[in-house]
Amino acid sequence: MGFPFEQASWDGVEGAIYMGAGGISPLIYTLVAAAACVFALWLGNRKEHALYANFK
Amino acid sequence: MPTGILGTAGPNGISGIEYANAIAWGWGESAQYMGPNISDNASGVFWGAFAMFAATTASIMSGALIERIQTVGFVILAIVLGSFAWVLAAAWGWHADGWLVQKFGVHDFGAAGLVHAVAGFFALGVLIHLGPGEAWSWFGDKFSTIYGTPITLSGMSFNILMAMGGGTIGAWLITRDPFWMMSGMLAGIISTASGLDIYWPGLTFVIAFAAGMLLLPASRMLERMGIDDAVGAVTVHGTIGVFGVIMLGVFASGFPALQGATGDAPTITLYGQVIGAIVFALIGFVPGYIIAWILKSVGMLRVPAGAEEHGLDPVKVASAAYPEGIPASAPPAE
Repeated sequence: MGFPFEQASWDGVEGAIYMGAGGISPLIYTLVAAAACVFALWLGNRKEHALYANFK
Repeated sequence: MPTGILGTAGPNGISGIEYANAIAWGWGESAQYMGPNISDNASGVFWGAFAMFAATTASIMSGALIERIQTVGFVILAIVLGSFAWVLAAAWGWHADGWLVQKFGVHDFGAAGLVHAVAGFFALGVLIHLGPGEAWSWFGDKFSTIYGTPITLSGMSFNILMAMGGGTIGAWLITRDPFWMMSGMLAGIISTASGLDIYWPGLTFVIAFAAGMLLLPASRMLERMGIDDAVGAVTVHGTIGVFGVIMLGVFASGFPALQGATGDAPTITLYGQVIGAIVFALIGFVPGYIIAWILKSVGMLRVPAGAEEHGLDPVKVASAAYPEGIPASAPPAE
């Protein structure tokens, strides 16, 4: 998953320490998070309109 | 966000397409500013502060649209306002390399224009499509500003307090109405926000007093145009925000707008503040109007009349908002 260190030690570590630092995996996580938000909006819109249908 | 219209770097070298490409992408070396990073403790916090402003713009808009906008439609509008419209205004009018700052000396320290006016006019663009509601409503070694200019906490505290007082009393003078007096307190702060770093407290009182007096006539003007702004958000944030940006040009022309060597720093002018106010209003209004028109076209803006008449709490919320025995809308006490 993009381990950023040469060996498993905090000695001498500087800069970014997150998984995938400097690589493309942060983009993948970001896209998955964005897709989850879009899905939630789509589902929310469906549920909302189903509730409105009872009061038209 | 680009700080100039063309995307070229400004004189401070902390802007432009190349700079943005180095810091703003969510992958590669550019992503290091947001993740855990031992050599950078501040960038994420700074981003978080701006995210708070984004939430503020959405909350300003929410007051104007209350009780009749669909939830998902509102969320989409909030995303456009919070992550695009106000950010563009901040990049142009709040950033040391922003073209409004560099070309026109725009100074808007407390964000009267770039947060409040943008959000207020965005809401106006939405309200035109949303339509009025049903016929009822409810009531370091040297501290510096974001421009790098000097500031003192005590001076700013006095200015804010005097602005609150001036706005409240000004609104009372015209309305005698507690609703508008509370709005006047907020309007007082917004009307002086651009210059809270350089105003004298007595002057903030005078400006805020005038802003408080403006509230009711400005709100009535909107109502005559058929705009139902439920809590006065367009008036308090939009109109008074523009008023505040322009007032700084009236009273503080000649002050340096930005930290810089003598003769290098752009200066505040009435002309520049008027340009800034117009740009901020358009940055809010245009996307608000367009996105609301799109949402209206696909049936995602306004709730059906039946649901609105029934009340959105019982229609959409599974749990009761009020304790048993207390109706949601109680008649006023005798």
